[in-house]
Amino acid sequence: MTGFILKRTLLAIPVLLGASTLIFFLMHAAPGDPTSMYIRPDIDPAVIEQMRKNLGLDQPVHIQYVKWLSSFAQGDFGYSFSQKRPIIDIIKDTLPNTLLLSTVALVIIFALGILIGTIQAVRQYSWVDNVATVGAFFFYSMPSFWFGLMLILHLSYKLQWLPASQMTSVNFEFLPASEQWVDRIKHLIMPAMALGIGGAASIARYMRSGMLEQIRQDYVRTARAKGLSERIVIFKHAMRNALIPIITLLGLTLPFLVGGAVLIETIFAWPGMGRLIVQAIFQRDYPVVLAIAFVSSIMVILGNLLADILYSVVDPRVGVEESEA
Amino acid sequence: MRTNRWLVVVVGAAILAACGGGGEAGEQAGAEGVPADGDMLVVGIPTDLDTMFPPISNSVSSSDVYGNIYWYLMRSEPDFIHFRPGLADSFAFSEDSLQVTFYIHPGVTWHDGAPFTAEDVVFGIGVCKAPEINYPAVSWLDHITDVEAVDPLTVRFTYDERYMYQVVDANVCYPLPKHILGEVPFAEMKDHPIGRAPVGNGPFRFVSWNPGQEVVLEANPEFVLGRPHLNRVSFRIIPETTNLATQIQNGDVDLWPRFAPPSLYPQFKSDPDLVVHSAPGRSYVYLAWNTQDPLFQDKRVRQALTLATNRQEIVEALLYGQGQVGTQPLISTIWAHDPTIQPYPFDPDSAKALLEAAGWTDADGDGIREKDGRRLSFSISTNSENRLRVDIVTVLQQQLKTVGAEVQPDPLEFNTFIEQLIAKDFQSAVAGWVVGIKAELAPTFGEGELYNFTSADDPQLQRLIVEAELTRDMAAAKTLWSQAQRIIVDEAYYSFLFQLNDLHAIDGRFQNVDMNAYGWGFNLEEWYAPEGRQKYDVPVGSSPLAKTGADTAAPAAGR
Repeated sequence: MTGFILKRTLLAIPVLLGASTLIFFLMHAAPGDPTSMYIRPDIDPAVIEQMRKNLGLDQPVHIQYVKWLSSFAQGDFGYSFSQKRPIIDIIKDTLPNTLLLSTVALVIIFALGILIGTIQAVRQYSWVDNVATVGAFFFYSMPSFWFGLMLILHLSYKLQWLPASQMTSVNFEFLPASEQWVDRIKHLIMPAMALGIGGAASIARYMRSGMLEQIRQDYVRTARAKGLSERIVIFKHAMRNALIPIITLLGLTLPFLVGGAVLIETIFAWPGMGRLIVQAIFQRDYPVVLAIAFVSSIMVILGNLLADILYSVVDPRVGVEESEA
Repeated sequence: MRTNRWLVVVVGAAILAACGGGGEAGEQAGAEGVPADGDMLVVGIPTDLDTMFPPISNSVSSSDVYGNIYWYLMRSEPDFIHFRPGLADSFAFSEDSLQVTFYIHPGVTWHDGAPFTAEDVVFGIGVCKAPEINYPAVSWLDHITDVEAVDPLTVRFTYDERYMYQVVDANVCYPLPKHILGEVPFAEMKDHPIGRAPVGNGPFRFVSWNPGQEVVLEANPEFVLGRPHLNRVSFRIIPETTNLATQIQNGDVDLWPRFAPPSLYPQFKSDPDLVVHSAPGRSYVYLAWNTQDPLFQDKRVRQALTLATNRQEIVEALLYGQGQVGTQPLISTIWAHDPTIQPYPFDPDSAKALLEAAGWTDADGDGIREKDGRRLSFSISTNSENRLRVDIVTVLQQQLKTVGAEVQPDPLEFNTFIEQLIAKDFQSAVAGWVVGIKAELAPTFGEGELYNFTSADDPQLQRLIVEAELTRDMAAAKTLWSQAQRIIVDEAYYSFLFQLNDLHAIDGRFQNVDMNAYGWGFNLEEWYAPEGRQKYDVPVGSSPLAKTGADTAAPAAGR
């Protein structure tokens, strides 16, 4: 297992390097640079030229690349042009928020998806199944940003049940500790739902068909014949096997989450990395874009690694060495 | 009362005149209730701050916030050429007008308790001038040759010549706390913690900054010029327009400064809980003609296409009436604005006649004019993320078609757009300028200047621009600016589309709110919510700079 993880980690290095290099040159090929935001008639163009010099933007791109790469390799993410502070500080601020949102969304995706899919399979062709099928298609085909806006409109504006943005309320620091927790959870519900619901719908579809397949297997019939209760048959025997393809989806869901967070974080004013990268791209804040892309890539690679490890846990037939082959 | 210290100063003439003791000049009509301390203002802003260290900040969100933490010696009136007292009570010109002396109000302190002195003013100017800092408006300090602390409460500026903006330029840089930053090398100031936890000298002091979430300020109870009424101001960062619109309507947000798009105007206007302020802002939108393009070399074509645009319709339809049809580059917020310059009328018939006269006729009857085998067909580029401008281009496409011109809208990503404008690699473009305080035409119409997108090169115009800039007499300068502008209008380098109004929506419980071209927070320290209408019960004293918890309910001294 250790060898497998080591091998995967080493393989990730060229992937990360390649991705970062590609992004670096793509960003620099795009017109404009971080000083574009200073273009105003009352700012002397000479000042902007001086700024470019101070930021090292007047040097040829390949020199800038070598400089960036060498400091990057030493663990220095660099300095944000637009936020005027070290990028490592920015990542420290935003990464936990993105992880919190993504984790909760991930739990929603899998808990809800597996639960609904299983119920659908067990009650195949019942009205529950039909409603859930229609619902799943509805949510799956709906863009998450639109769903997010609809949540805001109905739950926040019309019903005033949930706050529409931020991670905490405006009077958070004056709330008693117990209410602070409630406040945090309230702020998390809508963005996590918006981010997770589409994924949950698709997991439910996979789970339903996976379960249906397992339920018809001989071993399930055997288990029932042994007189095991339906609960044990479904949850202990059938579900374990039905989960195997779902684990694969876990690895595939992570990049989707990282990407989805870009829109959801903007809509709900959630201070995460997704929102940051959008701003950074528009402001041509090259080092921030590169750093966030790097961190996101690591998240995706780690997620896939985790999925492979889980795979072997759920399915004893699959050893990690084989799954790599 | 504040009015005792109220001085009105005409900059160029350097005349000081007391405005008389009576009357609340700044008071809004219809203010309700008695001024009371307390409550919190929740402001929705679209982007996070970059830094709260003023010399290196380049964000409107930031200056909205730190403008209440740091104060200037003298504070600008909405016209930008008159001043009201800030940390200084008054100022005086020397005989030869080459020196201006400011008299600081006794007892002003930094929020950490250290006294605010003339040394801090000298220090602030020094920081702004340092090349390592890259202060964007550094050229404004070019005429200031020396700043000297005469005594702790007196600071004297020396200039290399007498000119109109001597007081303006002395107040472009905030005084900075020398006792904190004095030993810090210029190159390291951008990393100093003061950028993210400012120690200022103004009516509000810093409480917290949660990146991407909110910035909180609270009343500075020790502010010697009078404690502000509001206990707290929270700036909530909400990037998504629909979300912010939702929150201001359900009361979670109290103020949305500079809200956009203007289509929200009627919606907010009809909301009984909101008050909408609409005042001419500091930006205008224009249609620039590239005079190097063979199509637009003849000024008659540019004039005709201007006559063919129904700018009033654009203001009505796209701005919901919240703007004025454009007439000139020195818009109404600038002192040199000439109200007698009339906009081109909307007159498609004259436009057609002018085009005919210029040789553009529709010989083949396809509805598009042509001349020497060229069709009157061109692109209008704009930056695509600006929805309003994209809509304007669409409207222009329709309007210009009626006089036989074919338009291809060309929406571009912002940086690409700017790059093409600077390279003069465009035919025509809908763009905008945010204008400053000073009358300036050289950057946008001066020959060879970077932002002279239209390649304006009229020799008389060039002479007038230079002459106007060098003229120190205000009335004479105004005449020259006016003449220069008339040439720009006649040459029709730009079709001036409109000057935008700044739109602000605020919860009705706040009184004494004065919003104008200077900005929404012009007199934030005077705002209040009357007792009984206050919404939040938040104490003062959360600031890390607060001495004890005993700050709460300090009396509104001096009011």
